[in-house]
Amino acid sequence: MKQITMTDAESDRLPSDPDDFDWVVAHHQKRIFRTLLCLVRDVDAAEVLTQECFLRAFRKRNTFRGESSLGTWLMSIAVNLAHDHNKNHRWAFWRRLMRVDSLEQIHIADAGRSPELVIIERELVDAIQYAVQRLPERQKAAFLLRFVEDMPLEDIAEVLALELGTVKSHLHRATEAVRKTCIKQGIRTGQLQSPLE
Amino acid sequence: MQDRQDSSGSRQHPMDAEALEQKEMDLESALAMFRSSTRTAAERPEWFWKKQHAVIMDRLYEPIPTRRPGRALAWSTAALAVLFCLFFLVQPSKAPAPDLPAGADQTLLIEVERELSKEYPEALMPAALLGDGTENLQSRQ
Repeated sequence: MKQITMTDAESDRLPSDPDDFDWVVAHHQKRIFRTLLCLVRDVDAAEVLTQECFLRAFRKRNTFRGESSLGTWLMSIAVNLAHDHNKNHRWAFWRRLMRVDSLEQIHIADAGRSPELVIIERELVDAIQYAVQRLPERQKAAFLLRFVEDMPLEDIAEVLALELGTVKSHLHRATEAVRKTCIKQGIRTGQLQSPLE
Repeated sequence: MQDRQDSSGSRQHPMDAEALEQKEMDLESALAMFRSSTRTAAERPEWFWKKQHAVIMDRLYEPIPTRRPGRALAWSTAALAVLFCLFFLVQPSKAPAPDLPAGADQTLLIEVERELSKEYPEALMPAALLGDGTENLQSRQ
């Protein structure tokens, strides 16, 4: 079995042997799962889609030309899978809504903080989460890739198959929507401006 | 006058910059909290990752399911057959004419003849009786 190294993880060719594909899964599965969980809001679905993402990557390994990094390519597969899933499961809105509480457990470190401050921070994160879930698919994906995964704008453009300017526009709109929702809910976040630079 | 405006403007500028800086910090802190909470929510125990890894690796060895073109054809044929049957079964049948009692025509003809043979129509019978009464009175006189 091939040894896992960062160089291998970002190499421009995918292994053709399933045994050698092992390191790709080990290196990227957490990130892919996290992104899918953010996009589909369903732990079971995110788990299944993560598996599907790697299967699809393995089956279509010949189409990977190495123009982008392997992580970006896998992320684009994951985003497309999440998009298809959400499109085909609109009826499951209420089911997702029922699961939101369990999924949106706020994990804010409260050591050394006053209870009031912790509550305010939880409300803030809830408000952002609420706003993000109501964004259109592309805007939501761009927002999450940028602000949760810390991806560069160029990589987001590749993942979403969009122009760089379009990604900036999506991010600006998403940030504005988040800011407005927070204000509507009476939560002061300061002026949420697009920190795109 | 110009100097006064310049000096107030130069005082305003750092205040605006400070406010913007504060807002920027608020934003960064809000997004950092969001990032942290989202990442924590996606954290799973080590056994979860191992299990998922094993499932993925097992599935890599599965043969790729090929789509059978005949299956879609069979399903569409079956659906058409069901629709065809439903069309003929549900189609409303023509309602039969109501059965008339035997001799109904004959009875009707007798009724018509009886009406025609009457000297006065039924509606004018009171007037006819009045006429008869007048004739009887005249004959008595």
